[in-house]
Amino acid sequence: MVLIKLKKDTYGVASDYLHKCLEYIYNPQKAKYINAFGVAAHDVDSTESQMKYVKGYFHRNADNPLIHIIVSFPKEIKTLQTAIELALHIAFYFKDESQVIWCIHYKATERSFYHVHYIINPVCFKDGKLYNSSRKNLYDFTEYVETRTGLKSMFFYGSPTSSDDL
Amino acid sequence: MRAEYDKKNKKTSITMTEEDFVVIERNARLKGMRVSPYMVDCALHHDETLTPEIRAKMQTIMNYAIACVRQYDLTAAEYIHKEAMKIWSL
Repeated sequence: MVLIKLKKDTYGVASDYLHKCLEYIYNPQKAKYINAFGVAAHDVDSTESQMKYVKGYFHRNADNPLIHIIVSFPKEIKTLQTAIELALHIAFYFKDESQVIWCIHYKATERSFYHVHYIINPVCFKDGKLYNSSRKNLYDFTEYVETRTGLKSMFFYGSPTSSDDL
Repeated sequence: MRAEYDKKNKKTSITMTEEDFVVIERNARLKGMRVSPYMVDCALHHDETLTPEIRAKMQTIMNYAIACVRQYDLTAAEYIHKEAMKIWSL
């Protein structure tokens, strides 16, 4: 089963939470693969400045700094190449409206080898609307993940300080 | 909650013809926006050649190009990245 966890990050504008999250994404010790839609996947500063550009354009600087979704694949997903392909399919869900960067981590647990961190700019680059992380929307996202991966999926909410283990 | 500098607390009224309003309303709807934010958006960003949507989509294409080129030529990939960054300051 694919597990999807949404971390509720509501630290607000005063925090450097976006910067810290991006540092985590780019950590070369952990990231096996990095890619992005709508934003550079090169380094922290490029990604952060481009996300802030969209926020500033729509005067959304003070809203949630980011949406953080972790998708953990089951042990059937054994190779990095398969994880890369599935992660890309999932990212397509956000491609037309949001800037999203994702990285793949390897962590062997009882139920999983690979998990993906998606950092999403909550401000839509089309109209400046905020991403709605309601139960209904996450349910839709989960259904999309099921369809694209062919694997049973479920979601839950996690706290900002919860670990990556799912 | 919005910070002071993000608050939309100024109001004004404007006059226009019925015909102009119909056009503006339709254009706003096409962008998925209401009339008021659409007019503010047009007025504030009229001299910007690229919308955030176009910049983001161009960046996605650049990411793909960089990923393809990086396999063969790291210097060229770096060059494309530097050029792609200019999309955001045009």
